[in-house]
Amino acid sequence: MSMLRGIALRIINLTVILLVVLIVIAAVLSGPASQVLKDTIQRETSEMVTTIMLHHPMTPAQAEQLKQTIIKQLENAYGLNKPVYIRVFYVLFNILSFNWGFSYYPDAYGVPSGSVVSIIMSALPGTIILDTLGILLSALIGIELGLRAALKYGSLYDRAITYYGAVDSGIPQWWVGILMILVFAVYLRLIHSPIVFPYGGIVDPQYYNVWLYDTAKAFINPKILASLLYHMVLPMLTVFIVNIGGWAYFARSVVLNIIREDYVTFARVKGLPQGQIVSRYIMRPAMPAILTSIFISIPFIIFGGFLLTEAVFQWWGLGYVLNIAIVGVPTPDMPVILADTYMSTLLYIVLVFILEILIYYIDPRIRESQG
Amino acid sequence: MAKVSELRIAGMTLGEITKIYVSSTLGKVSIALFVILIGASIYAAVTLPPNFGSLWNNPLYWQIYPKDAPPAWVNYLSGNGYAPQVMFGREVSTQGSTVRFSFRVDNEYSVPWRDLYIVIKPMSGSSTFTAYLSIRRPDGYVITIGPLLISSMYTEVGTTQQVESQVIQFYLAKYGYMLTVPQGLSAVPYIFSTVSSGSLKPLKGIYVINLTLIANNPSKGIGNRLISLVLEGNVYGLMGTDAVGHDLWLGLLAGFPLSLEVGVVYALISTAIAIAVGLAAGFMGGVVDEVLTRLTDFVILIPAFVILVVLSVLLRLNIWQAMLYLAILSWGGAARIIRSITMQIRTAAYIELAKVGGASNLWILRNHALPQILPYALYLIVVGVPGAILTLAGLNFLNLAGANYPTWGNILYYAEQYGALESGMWWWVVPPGLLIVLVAVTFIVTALAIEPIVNPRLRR
Amino acid sequence: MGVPLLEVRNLSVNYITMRGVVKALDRVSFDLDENETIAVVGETGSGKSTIAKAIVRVLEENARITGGEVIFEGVDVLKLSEEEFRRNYRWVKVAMVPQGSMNSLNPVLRVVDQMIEPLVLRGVPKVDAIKIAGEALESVGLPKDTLNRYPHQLSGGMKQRVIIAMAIQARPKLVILDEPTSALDVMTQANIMNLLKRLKREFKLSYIFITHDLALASELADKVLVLYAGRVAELGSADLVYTDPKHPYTQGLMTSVPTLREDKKLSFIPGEVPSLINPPSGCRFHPRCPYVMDICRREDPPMIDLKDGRKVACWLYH
Ligand SMILES: Nc1ncnc2c1ncn2[C@@H]1O[C@H](COP(=O)(O)OP(=O)(O)OP(=O)(O)O)[C@@H](O)[C@H]1O
Ligand SMILES: [Mg+2]
Repeated sequence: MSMLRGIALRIINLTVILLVVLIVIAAVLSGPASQVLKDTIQRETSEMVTTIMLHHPMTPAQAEQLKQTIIKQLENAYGLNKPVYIRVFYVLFNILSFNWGFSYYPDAYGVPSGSVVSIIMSALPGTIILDTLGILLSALIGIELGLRAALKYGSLYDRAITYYGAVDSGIPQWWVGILMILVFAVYLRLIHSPIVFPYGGIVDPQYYNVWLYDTAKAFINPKILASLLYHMVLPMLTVFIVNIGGWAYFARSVVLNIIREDYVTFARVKGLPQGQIVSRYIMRPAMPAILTSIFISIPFIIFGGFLLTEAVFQWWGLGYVLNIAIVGVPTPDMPVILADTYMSTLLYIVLVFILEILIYYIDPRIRESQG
Repeated sequence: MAKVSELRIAGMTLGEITKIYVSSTLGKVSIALFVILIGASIYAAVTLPPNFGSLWNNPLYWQIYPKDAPPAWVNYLSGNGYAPQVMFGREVSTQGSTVRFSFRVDNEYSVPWRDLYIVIKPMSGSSTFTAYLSIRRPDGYVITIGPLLISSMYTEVGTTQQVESQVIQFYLAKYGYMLTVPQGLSAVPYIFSTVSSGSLKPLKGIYVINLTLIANNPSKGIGNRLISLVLEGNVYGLMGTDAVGHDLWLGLLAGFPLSLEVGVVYALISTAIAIAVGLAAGFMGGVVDEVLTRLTDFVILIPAFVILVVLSVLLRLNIWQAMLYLAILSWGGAARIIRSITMQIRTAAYIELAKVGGASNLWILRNHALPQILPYALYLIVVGVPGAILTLAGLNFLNLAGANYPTWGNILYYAEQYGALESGMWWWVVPPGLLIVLVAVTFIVTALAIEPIVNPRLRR
Repeated sequence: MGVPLLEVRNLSVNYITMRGVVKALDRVSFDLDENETIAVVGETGSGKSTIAKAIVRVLEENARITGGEVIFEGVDVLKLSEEEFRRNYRWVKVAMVPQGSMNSLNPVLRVVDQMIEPLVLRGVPKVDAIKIAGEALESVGLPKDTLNRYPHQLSGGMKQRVIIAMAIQARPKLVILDEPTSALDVMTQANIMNLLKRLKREFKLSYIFITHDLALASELADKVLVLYAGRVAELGSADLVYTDPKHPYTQGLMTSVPTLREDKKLSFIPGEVPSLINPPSGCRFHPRCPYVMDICRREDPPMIDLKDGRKVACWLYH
């Protein structure tokens, strides 16, 4: 009962934060977002006027005037001539209702119609797969390594993990991705190695259509799935190399603090075997702290790391789409950039939310203070 | 009680702190790394010309440099014998309309020079020259090239139709060999080759290159000029070149002062904000604390990188502005720590002072909080730097948040754009990343070394 | 009487620290019979907790047992493997209520989970274990629903009782109580002392009762061991030590026993607690001793057996 109440409160809390983040982003971006909307209106009005002209011939001047009137009306309807603080809410509304407009360069993405919604949606599975698997697995491995290091405090292994963990946070993930490609895709081919890895991409080119248009189908096709896994090796390795150290480092320092707690000694006095002490008296109490400390560094891990890593591996995800929208086209593709920003923020908030629920679930003290 | 006159940080004198710092292994490593960084920055500031930024962005300046050339020292590793860049220069000052001089060059390489440039500085639009080259080869043959019209500062010799046919003629006449120069490629390598048993071989030995330069307007004469012949190499310098011909060594060098400055200024700003917010929240309590804590939580949650990407695109931020926005978006974590330390200190101080009889917040701030927080702030500054350097490098890699000078992230962006990766040009993609890591790791190691000294929690 | 329950023979423990080697225990010996209580008293830092931890073998990593034996029912438990000791002794024969029990409960597990663990581990079915735990809680005067609470929902006194309940539910022969009542208010202190007395009668327990409070020790102790700077100063039956203390240090302690029990460290004997890294030469108490003689500065006093069965480490009785 009180538990449900607590979770509900947590959800409300995070939803508020999500809204505030969105409002801030909307405010910051209300300028360009309005521009995007204006472009859409222009474009649609032109089409409309052209169609009308087919049935009702008129002079160019008349057509132009008609166009201007329609644009005026539409702009009014969308609140484009309202003051900024009102426009923010229009922008917010557009974001929330998936009214994301059209790409300036629809051909650059290979997704039909150039509608931003379909571009972003086609990129979502890639990002979710790489990010969730990457974060989850590197967390598991990293925490395990950190725990072992702490248990062997002062050993060579412990020092190795400490330095690896510390240095790890100073390595750009995307650059490690570049090195991976250089070594495992380029050089392996040069030496005619029997095993080589792809330069990039999310699946083999012949499967792209399935992936872009019907991702669900791609998952039940074993060939495409195999191709996906094959393409995932290098990006995942990159994610591991750069993220495991951080998790190990956090886990180690938290566990080191907890090992000195009286209740761990007392668990030994009680005659509990080592395994049970580690899992119930060290890891359980350590988890909330580990998760909390990872919290603060997540914004960087996620956005600095994963988005650019996707771009390097041309992994069809939000990061790669963002990369195309910024540097792959002649001028920045604003509608795509905006929608991509919203979507990654949303993903990020969902991730934070899952983390919070986890922490909340594990730590009765937090549960109390919330409930 | 400590003497008031003596400056103490975290209860230790500066001398003691320095001693602890220097005596730890991490401290020594961090000092060594800093010496490297600062040394490189000073070297860069002294050696790079003040207009280096515009030079870098002017492709004409780099056209005589080899393109995509690995560093010269690969010769030592591979023994392949790639010809390095060679440049002969001569200052002339004459009223006469003809100069003539010769250079000697020893071709000991199995992959000869790619091209030949004639460079004349200064070069004004009105005066043009005609050049003849005759090259005496180790086998005693002479190849004559010319006349070439020289109308700009840099004249590429190898790809003109005329030179090509002259070289082909030479091969026909001397060896009866029908040479084909691939479309768009330079004929210069064939000047340094010979035919043996029906196929092309490099011809090693001493070459003498004679240049004759005639002013096309005899009344003006040659004047004061620096005339150079440049043999474009296959390897170049310490760090090689990129597709434009940029000397990567210079580009990498320029990154040192830039990333240090940007990183440190970022850390100063964000730490200042964090301290202000954390102290205010910790000391004022009540509503102020509530509001500031909420704000801090919020700032921690903001996905700074994407917002920065959008702002950089939108406002065409340069690296300094992007750094400023980053600082404004990312002080949350530090502020949270400062607040909790402040709360601890304040509680402890109150308990202590309750016995003596009350004290003002200001008194506690001056006598208890600041002496403990300021050294910790130093730590926060140091740990803040790597994040900024990585974030900004990431932006640069998207060709955003640029600077006049080349940045390491930007060099990597161009590497990616020009397909350096697929063609395995490691000298273009490995060093910039390594340098980013070097700077970040320097600060991380320093942070590890000073944390036990300045962290009030660890010392307890 | 046969073999005593516990014999500690010349136990010496060092701590390796950055500043040097802390000689925390130096040749400490004592015996304990079944259903007997020995009070270990001494100033802070005298090594009391070190004795307790050495007996249950949970000394910190930097501790080194440099000599001596801990013989439990005729077996030198220091020689057993960790696994053997864990399986057959910890919580089976010897339980401990550690100093600072406030922090001895895992904050993320409910009381019941922590209480039944050692029982379930030894094959008691879970349902029975919960019943036993509930009864143990009741026997220390806590309501049964404490089982379902988390530690942070309990007061300090309640946590202390939970730990004591855990110790007795195992039905061990020996319970080591390391300052079980410090940091509790006087009322709770008295309650817990009464509880301990009752439990001792009911379950025929032996106690090692560690405290710096002589008055408190007098309520429970059959024997008293006075520890000074890691060495035994005086050891004997409680009656004798209380009525006629021999060692000048014990005498100092006795005269300064406050009438009211309070949580007060024994710092009223003039002088400082000596450093254990560079202990004073000869008798470690000599810098503070009112009867100090030349020999005290030069030579260690031997352990002298007095006629009444007491042991005193003091040149006065040589
Ligand atoms: N892990 C350790 N490392 C180094 N020195 C230690 C360690 N544990 C205890 N000591 C030192 O050993 C000596 C004895 O400590 P111990 O905890 O046994 O004292 P105590 O008599 O229980 O004191 P208190 O009444 O304060 O609990 C002290 O000088 C203490 O500083
Ligand atoms: Mg103790």
